[in-house]
Amino acid sequence: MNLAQLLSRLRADDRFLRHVTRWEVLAAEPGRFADWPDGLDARLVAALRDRGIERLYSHQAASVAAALAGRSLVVPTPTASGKTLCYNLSVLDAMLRDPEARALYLFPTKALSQDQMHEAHDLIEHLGAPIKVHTFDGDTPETARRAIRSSGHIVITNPDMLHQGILPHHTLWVKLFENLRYVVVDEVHQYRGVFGSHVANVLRRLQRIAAFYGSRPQFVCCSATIANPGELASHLCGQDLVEVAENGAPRGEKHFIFYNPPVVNAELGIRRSAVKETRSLAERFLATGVQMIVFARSRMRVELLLTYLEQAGRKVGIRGGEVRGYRGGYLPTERRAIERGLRDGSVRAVVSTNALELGIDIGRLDVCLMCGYAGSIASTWQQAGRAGRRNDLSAVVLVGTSSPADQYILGHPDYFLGRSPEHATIDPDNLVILMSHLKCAAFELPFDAGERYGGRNVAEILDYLARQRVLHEAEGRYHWMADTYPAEEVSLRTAAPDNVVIVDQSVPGHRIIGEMDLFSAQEMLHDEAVYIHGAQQYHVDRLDWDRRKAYVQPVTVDHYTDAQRKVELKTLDAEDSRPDDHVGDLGLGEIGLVDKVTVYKKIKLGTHENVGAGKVNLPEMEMHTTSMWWRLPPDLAEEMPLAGLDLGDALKGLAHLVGTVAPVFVMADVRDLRAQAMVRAPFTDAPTLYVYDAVPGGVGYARRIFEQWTEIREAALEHVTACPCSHGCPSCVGAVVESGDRAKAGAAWLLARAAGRHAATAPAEPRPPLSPN
Amino acid sequence: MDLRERLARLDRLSRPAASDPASDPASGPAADPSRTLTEALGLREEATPGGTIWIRRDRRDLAQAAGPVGDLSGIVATELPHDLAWSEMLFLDTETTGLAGGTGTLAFLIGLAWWEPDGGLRVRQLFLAGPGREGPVLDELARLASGFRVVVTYNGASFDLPLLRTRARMNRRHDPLGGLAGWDLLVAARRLWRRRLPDCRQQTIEAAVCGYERGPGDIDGALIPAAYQAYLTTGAAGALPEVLRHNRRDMEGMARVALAIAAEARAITDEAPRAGDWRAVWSRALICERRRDVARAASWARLLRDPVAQGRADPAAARDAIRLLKRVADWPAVRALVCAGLAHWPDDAHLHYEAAVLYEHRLRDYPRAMTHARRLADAHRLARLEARLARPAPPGCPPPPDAL
Repeated sequence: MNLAQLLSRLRADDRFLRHVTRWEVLAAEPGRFADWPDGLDARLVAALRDRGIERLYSHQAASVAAALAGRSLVVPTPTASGKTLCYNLSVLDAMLRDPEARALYLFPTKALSQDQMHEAHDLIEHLGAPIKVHTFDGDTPETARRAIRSSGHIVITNPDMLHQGILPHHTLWVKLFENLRYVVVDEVHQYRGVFGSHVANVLRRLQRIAAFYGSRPQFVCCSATIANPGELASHLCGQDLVEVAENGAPRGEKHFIFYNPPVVNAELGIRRSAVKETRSLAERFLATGVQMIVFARSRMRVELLLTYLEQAGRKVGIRGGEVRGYRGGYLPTERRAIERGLRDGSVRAVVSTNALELGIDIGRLDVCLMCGYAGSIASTWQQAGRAGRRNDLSAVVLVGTSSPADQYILGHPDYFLGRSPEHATIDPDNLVILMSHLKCAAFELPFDAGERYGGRNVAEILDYLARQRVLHEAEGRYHWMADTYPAEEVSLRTAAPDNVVIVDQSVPGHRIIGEMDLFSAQEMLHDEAVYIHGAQQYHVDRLDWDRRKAYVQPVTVDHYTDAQRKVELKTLDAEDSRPDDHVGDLGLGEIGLVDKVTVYKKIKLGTHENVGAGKVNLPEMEMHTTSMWWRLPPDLAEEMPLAGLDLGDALKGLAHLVGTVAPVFVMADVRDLRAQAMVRAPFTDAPTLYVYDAVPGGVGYARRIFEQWTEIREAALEHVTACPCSHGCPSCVGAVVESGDRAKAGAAWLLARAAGRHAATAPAEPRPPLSPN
Repeated sequence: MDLRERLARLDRLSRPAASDPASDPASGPAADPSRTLTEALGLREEATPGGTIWIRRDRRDLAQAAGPVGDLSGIVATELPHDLAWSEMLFLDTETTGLAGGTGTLAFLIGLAWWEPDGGLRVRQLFLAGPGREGPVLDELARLASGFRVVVTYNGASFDLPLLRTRARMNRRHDPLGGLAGWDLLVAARRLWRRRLPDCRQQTIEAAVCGYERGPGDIDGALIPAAYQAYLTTGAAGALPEVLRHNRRDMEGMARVALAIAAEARAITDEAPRAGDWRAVWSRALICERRRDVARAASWARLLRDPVAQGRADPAAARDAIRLLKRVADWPAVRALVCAGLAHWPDDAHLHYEAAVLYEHRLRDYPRAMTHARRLADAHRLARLEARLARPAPPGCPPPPDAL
């Protein structure tokens, strides 16, 4: 049986189709080509012809033409659409004309840098030009660094290295900065949220240093498919970019199947294991002789699925080495071997984390199975793009887990398949992030009074830093004056660098098993907590708050702990507001949060009985961030009991629901956003739902939600209405023990009113609580 | 909410409540501090084409050695002019706003010293009045440096000199020391004394080798950045007089260490090898090896036999000595060292290896060679030795040397 036959068989299989929420067939599209751009060096054209490339795809040609015209640009390119030519051609063209010209390539990971270096090498070899390409990152040996600094034409690095290793030492890179013609930023969709806000500042610093050496580089950005590649890239680079819209790469027919495993416990919203469902699907596909990739969200799931697939493979005559795993923690040489095996066909199936979602060249495969939603539409399309040769049939199956985001997507395939509504959001002007980078920038080059940074006036912040004695103001310039190296103190991947280290003291010499941010640590790592890590229970013997260490040891007990967090939310400043469509008003502004974990409960596994409690003695945590809020009219509180509903339950459910749905729309991780509702908020004097960035200062998610509120509210209503649970589950309004038994009906009622509808269904009957507690 | 309020809030969040910047005396302006400052530091304001700079001039009575510096090959990392005279060296040491390196670290004090033809040590200190005034200071440094052939530093190759290059670039100038060869005393000190001293910090060498004690009151290097920072905020001299004194002592110490290095270089070349501190002997042997004077290196290495036999020396010293003696084919000495070494360090794999090679290839004592090869679990060698034992010696093979 081949792939086409298997697909027709599945189409006729009722037992399979019962769980398919959507079967979309994406029609084949022929490639669109364009002539060689005017002015492209003839040697490049000859070298490409030499490699069998007779013409460029339309998006490649448009990118090169824009770059040759001196413009900065962004080009959205799905997986394997030939994006490297979009920038390599213009960069090499510049170097053929001016042997001194330099370019800097930025990739989010080291593995990608390696891949790109080989790619560029290949083309340069065909050119026979003396152009040197080097990667420069943490793995670059000290002995090679000097040569790379002075003679590397194309330097491939990552934002972290640029931030900590290159910019603060720019005087060692004079050749690069004096001749910097191009900056290539690939995978820009990765630069969103906190990371993106940092990277935007690193690029501001880069341009400031380039200007010092008299160069003004063009930017060439590549992005996966997101709603706003142009906006994101412009925001990142701080300048207007040409957006190359059309993609000219051909594709074969692709079947995209949304498969939601059957419900096994409607009350708790639990479905059959996605791993097991993926396993049995994978077995069927393997038997057709296709080449396949399976994505799983955790390293553990990768290993689990790998074991299953090896077993399954043996049944159909596939040898062990033909099914491989791929994830962080594998050695680079091993990874390269797997990538080669995928390209030459000797590896038949690979099980991977999102490590292979990024643009590493593994050729194209026939089938992609996703065990769980990748977390964003952009990532999902990237993973799906791994399947699909230019002219052949391919298939993608998304197998849903019980997690809220998965259930939203599986329940709303239209949302997924419509034009990607995800907006990547950054806020480079987040005060905390901005200030960190102003320090780094001042270290790199003194600020002139009145100098603008990222297009904004930063005089007040510079004065503030001078008062803090980090900078010294003299004769109209602000100089770095502390005896530290500020870039070392700023990590691009977190907003608050402080973490609690988890130390297992049961082993000799102790072993670090993980890290956790301060907020979560208060909840999960307080003294006497039972903390679960990698399916193992640990007892927290002591949380040394000042030293940021939690000492734990493995235990096996019949309970877990659940800490009660008391969050005091204060609205500090309202900067925008408008009425919602039918009910209530929306606000946007700054809030202050005082968080304190006060007590914890011991909850028995299985029965969820409360079997004890204890006090937690930890300092309060204070954070300021951006929030949007939805103020509901107080008279709703009077109406609800008449409908047999409870406002408190409804608001709790609403907060959980919006916290589930909103991240999908703003391309945020669930942890980046929090939602909290109050029956009577002091600021609005009414029932109010707050949705805020879980990052000091905020990075723009709340603003997006404020702007897209109607859409998100409608989606939340649809999601809660469609959820198959009876009274609430973690996929919608939260478990009944958490939100109350009238949460689901209440939240749906509120949302229906807000949409200008009356709740269509009668609220469900209240049920007796699960336990006396 | 405007930025000012947000900054104020951030301020409140980031610093402990007790510290109020307004009440901090350090933040208050000082009344015309520059006059008293120059007095306190002994600085003079001098006009240069690029602007005013602050300089302090001193002289130390420290006689240079007579004649040329001599042959330093094998001791210095880079080639120095072979006819270098003491008066052609510029000693340099900077005090900086931090040790982090990178573009944000300033040299706020550049100390320079050189020998006048009459023998005294001239010291110049260029003080940076403020972070925006580097230009004329760098120009003055370039002007002074142009009369010298070599810049002498202590760890300057990796710290002071790159830092000054960076400062020059930041101020759009050429490297003020670009025309000078560099002599980093730390490299020489390590080669000569690291085997017998706990560390090779400048002050350790000064005290142990030159007998130069700085006396009390020398400021802790870690406090130096803060001293300059305090000056910038208050305009007062604070701890800066100690910093300048520390810098002058560094200059003088460097000059003394340079003299000691040259003296040691002469001793290695000119004196007949004689027993002494075995660590010094060991270092001298290695210096001669670096100079490619293998015969002399071997003469020094022979002197290690007694310390090794008495178990005083280090197995690493024995290994180096064996290597040097093999190069001059002094097999009796090699054997003596191997035997003496193994008597003290019976588990030293390297010595067993040397023994196995020696007995197999030089002394043709295969049974003994096997003993050592077994200790090394060297299957390949054991197999070969067994084969050798099984067949008669080939004709024409010289008889084994006498057993020692």
